[in-house]
Amino acid sequence: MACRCPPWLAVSFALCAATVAIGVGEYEAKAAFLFNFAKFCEWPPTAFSDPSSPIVICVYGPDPFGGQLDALVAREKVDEHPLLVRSISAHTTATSCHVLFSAAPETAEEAALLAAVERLPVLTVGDAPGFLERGGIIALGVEDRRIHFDVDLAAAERSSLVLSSKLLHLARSVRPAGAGP
Amino acid sequence: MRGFRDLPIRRKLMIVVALTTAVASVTANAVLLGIDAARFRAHLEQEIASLARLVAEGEEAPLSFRDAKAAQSALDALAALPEIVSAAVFTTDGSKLATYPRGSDSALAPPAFRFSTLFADGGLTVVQPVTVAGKVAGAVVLRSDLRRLHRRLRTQALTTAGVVAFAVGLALLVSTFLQRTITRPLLELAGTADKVAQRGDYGLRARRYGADELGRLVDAFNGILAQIAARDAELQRARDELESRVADRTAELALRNEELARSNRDLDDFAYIASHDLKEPLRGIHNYATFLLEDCGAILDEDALAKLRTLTRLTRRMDALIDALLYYSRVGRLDLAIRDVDLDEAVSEVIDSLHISLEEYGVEVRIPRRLPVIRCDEARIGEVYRNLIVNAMKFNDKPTRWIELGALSPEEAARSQGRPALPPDTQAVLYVKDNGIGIPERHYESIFRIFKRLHAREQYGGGNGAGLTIVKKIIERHNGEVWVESSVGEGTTFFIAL
Repeated sequence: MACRCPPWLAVSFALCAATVAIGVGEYEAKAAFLFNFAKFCEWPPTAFSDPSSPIVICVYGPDPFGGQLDALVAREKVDEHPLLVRSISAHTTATSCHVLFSAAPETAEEAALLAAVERLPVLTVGDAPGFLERGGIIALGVEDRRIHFDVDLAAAERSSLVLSSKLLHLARSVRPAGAGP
Repeated sequence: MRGFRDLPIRRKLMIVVALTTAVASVTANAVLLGIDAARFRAHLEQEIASLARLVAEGEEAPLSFRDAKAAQSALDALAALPEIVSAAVFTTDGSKLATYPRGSDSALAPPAFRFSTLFADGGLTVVQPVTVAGKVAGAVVLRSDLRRLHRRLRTQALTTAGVVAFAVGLALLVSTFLQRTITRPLLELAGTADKVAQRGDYGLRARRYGADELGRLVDAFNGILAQIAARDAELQRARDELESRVADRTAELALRNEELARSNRDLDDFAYIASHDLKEPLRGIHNYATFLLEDCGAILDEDALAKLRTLTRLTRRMDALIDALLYYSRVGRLDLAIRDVDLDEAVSEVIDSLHISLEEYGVEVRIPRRLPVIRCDEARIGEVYRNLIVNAMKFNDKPTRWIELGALSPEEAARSQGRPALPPDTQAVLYVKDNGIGIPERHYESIFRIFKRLHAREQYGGGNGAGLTIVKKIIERHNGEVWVESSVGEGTTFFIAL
């Protein structure tokens, strides 16, 4: 069966196996999570110029995936949208992102970045501690060699993003909406 | 089917009604049951498919994140539905992410990742692909048993059986009332027919209930009875008429018989009295003629003498005729002395007494077989043989003359042509045969008349013409029959049945 499947599947399988127990590499698994978040997230229609516009995944700071994310999403589509990975360093470029991943610890620059996209339809994902407190939407974490995530629905609401309840069901914790700053 | 044919019509109608109703209601209910089963199957299929879609939706995120725990907990919810026997969540590579019941090594095979439903092995298997963001991420396979379908079928079948039983029962109940319109006239008709057959009373009539075929049957039956009765009466009338006619005729015959017997008696008496009384004056005439010849022969001329001689000859002949008549009347009046007679002895006595004449005529008498012993009057039968032998002896013109005496065997008697119907107590059929001149057939009857002659008086030795009449009289007194067969110029045979 594996031989008849597209190559990404083998990769995906390898990565996905790692979601249960991280053996392959933390960031390989996190790349798959990032991709999956895009599947269960609904952007407002204004976020795309047309249905086949790409979903832009921006990685802030030094790329922890080492090219694995690019390999994972290459030729992949979420509905009609192709996926595009872009590295950013300056907060000015973040407005054109749909997903913004930040592996950086808390810095002034990151805070500015998050603030800049706070009311834009950008799904912010981070894995540094206190990410949600800084206005992020989804925070990734590792516990018992398993990856988990927490969601702040209020932040998602501010960004006019709708996260699927299916996704929320898998979250370790969900901060309810209506508790925004 | 033979058993059914012999059943009473009432039972037949019941069976027909029951079977018809059962067939109709079973057919109708079976069709409804089939439709319901098909519809329920489709419904079940739809339900399980919906359930599979629901489960698939719940498995979208767990499949995406390969979250076996979440996948399992979504499947565990199926425990609320006891008809779901097994389920599994497959990833696109064919491995199972979760199974239901939990931890069971489900026999479900990795499916093709497209929607399908399959009824097989007493269950329904539904494959529902799980699509995430327009892409197949795996599949949910549900397997349901058909307990609901079976339960429904069972309930429906029981209901159908109940309905059929009720319908048949109701139909029988209704038919017991309705069938009387058919069976009652029929049973009454059969009963009437039985009565008619047993009693032979054609005056009975079957009751008519309506103008249907049974009514027509009853009419026809009654019509036939009426015809039979009419014919019966006619037959009876004809028989009565015939009986009275037979009685009339019998009485008439008895009267005639009596008259005949009386006139026969009168005739015999008359013949006796007449001949007896005639003899006296005849003797006087003869005596006086003789006296004239003896006393006055000398004074009479030859012509007168010749006339006197003719007179005496005629008186002698007259005397012979009167004697014959007397003898004839005596035969009619005297009682017979019936006893066992050996005909051989009786006949040889007759031949002895005639032997001079026989030698004179040169006649040979042949008796080829012994003659039988029969019961008769010996003297009278001897008279019969004497008359027949004398006749045969006289009426013969052959150079070699013979007479054959014998008795016919029964077969020979049956072949005899002129034979009248013989009484059953006939002892023997005797015959006297000659090779004489024969008798023309037209005279077979008249030869037995008294004083009947077929030839001139002096031809064939003469005679008084009473011989055969006396023969016939004697045979009739014996309740026998006499008849003749003859061939002119060849010979004559007289048959005597005694």
